[in-house]
Amino acid sequence: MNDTDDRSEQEIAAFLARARPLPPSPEFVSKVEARLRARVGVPTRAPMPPARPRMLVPMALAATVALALGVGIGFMAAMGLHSGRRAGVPRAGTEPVRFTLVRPAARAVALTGDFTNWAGAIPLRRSRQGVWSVTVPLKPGQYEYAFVINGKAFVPDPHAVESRPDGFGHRNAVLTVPTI
Amino acid sequence: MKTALLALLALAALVVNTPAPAQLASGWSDSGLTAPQVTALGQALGQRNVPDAVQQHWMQQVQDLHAQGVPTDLVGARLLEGLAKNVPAPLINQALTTLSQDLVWAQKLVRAHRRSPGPGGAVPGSGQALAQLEAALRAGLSRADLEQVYGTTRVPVGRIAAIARLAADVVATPVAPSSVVAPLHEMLAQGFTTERINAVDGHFMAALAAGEPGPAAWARLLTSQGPAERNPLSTDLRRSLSAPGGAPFGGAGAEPMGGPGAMGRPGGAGGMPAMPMSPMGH
Repeated sequence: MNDTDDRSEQEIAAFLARARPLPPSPEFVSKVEARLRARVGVPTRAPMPPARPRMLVPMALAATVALALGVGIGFMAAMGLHSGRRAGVPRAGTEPVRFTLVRPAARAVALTGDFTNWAGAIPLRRSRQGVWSVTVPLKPGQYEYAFVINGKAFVPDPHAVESRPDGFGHRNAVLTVPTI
Repeated sequence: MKTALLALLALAALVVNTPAPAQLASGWSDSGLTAPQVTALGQALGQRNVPDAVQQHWMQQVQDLHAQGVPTDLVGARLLEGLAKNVPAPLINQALTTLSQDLVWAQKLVRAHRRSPGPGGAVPGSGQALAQLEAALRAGLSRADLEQVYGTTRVPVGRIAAIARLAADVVATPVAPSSVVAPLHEMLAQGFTTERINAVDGHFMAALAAGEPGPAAWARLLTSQGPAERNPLSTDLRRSLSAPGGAPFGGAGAEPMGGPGAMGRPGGAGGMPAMPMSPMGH
């Protein structure tokens, strides 16, 4: 079970933002530029002045990562993509609950728990940003659940406000659906 | 390691006496599991190629609990969870044994708070209470902690479930059990209804969802002043918790238990009551 990928990404971004950029050699900059041009067909342009390009590669990387994270977090906040969040109009006796997991590298993500008797798994759909999500109607009550990554690894929801031991040496996320 | 080896040997010894598949199928049906659980178990056990003897052992555990009037759907769910997570059979065996013991203990606790036992000792609505008590144990409370919480006065089964859920939620965040026992006991002693206990739980969970750490949210709940919508704990409760000597025993809504099946005797004023004659054992 590995639920640290999302946190690791944030830690890398924070580290890059804090890191004092090391000046790359002019040869390194030339090689990177040449490879970029070859890969994405960037038009060839004049060599950069020697002072600025030294900062360009690490700073651009940090800025890109920070921007991507900022946009992602803002997008999630705006769309209400917190995992286990109640969403939409409730059906009779149930309330739709939206489960999400940011796992861009996963091939498949499913949801299982008390509400499936731990016998079935509800597949999540992947967005282009790598956010997996599904909305499940649930009756009021307390549920233990986990995500299943690639059909094998069981991962507790990293965004759940509560988790508890599952009795087998790991943990389940806990979701409380209040009485409507 | 030693325990796991012994469990493995015990399971291996069962292979000697292998029951017929038809016997196994009917055995699960007769053990109090829900129909979907029986179907799912049949599929999961088959997919995992669990030896018939091991299945027989697990089924026997479930049937024994069923015979004692313990709701077995919780055990069925745990078994299905273990199979789904591909947990090794000896570990599933250990987990089921622990769960069975905890449920039997929880049932005794619930029955001890019953005014008069129903037919066969059944307590209506006890399934939820047993599930929440077991969850509280998994979250980190001990049986002794929970026995102190419920004390020696009768508590309706709905309130037992609500308090156990609150206890599990708070301790899981993690708040030390020692910081949870006295306040929860005092809530019962002051006659908090199920709805009010649920309101406290909702208040606490909302604080967590807003990003407040559990220990800070719990401490704030126990000490902060304000109207009920901002803090569902009463001023009386906060005052009694902060008084020297801790929470007094007894109070509004508390009814001392007595006679056969009583869990102890009412304690004196000041501090937590002693539990000299708990029938539940540890």
